[in-house]
Amino acid sequence: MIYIAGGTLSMQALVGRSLDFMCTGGTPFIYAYLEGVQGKIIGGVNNRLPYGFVSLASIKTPAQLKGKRIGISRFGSTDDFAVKLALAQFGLNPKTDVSITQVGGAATRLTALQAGSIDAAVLTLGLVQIAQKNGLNLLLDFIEKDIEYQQVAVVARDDMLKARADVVRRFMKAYSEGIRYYKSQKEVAIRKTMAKLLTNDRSIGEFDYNQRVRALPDDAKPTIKGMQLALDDIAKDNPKARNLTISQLVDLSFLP
Amino acid sequence: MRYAWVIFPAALLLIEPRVASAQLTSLRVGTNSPASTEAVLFSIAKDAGIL
Repeated sequence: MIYIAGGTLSMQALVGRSLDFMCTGGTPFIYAYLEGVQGKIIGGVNNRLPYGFVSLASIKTPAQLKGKRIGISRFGSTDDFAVKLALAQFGLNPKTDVSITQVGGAATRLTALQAGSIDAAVLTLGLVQIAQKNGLNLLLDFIEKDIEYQQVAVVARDDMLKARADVVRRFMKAYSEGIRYYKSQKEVAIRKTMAKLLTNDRSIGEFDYNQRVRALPDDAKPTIKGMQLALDDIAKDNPKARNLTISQLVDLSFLP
Repeated sequence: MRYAWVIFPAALLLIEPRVASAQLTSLRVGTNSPASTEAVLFSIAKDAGIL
């Protein structure tokens, strides 16, 4: 696996053929598609928003976010969308009430929060646990809201789907088996999660696993409802998105 | 019979070419977070021989 911070950059890596598949958000994929990227979502990884909206300890209510700096990875990324979703829940305007700045991936945003260079950010759940243990405030738990959203999908280029269809099918079959293994081997998954999060704190690993397992689809399918939510949001500002349909973006034929 | 363990697999590869060509395919998969669901899933699946 190759780590690339932010959905926008990772789509560039996929187009540039540095990758065969990219696990990235529905939102950056739609933006990339509108810019001419020829690809499809062929599976779902995370069909909910496994995020928490975290602020400095001094910010205890959403209203106190007015005039504050919120860190995201990149404009057009999934966390950018999640921030807008949270601000809508809080009744705040992302353009006039707060200042949104590009900081970096979730771990970088946590560091920026702890250093006080930003006031709030959306973090992945394992990092939310760490943030809370360090005195930061959880203002919104997206998992509790149970919003269907294509936070992570398996994406491939059209040329790969055509030229190496058999490899893609085998990959998706192995991925489906991987889902069953992840869901049935809880202890193995928690230990690996702890290693990836660089923590010895089992409660952090277990919390992360318990949230993620709920968002991981048993059948490896993406969420059509969640894709439509992202598409509708993009269409508000981008007229080209109004002519797009889900069938242009998603191909389920490679699933076992 | 003492060389059966050598002859049988060799014969199998000749009879069934798919066994001979059952190659490992190396695929590059990107992720946006080193501790993501897919990073953990692919890692344990690889350890278990699924991938």
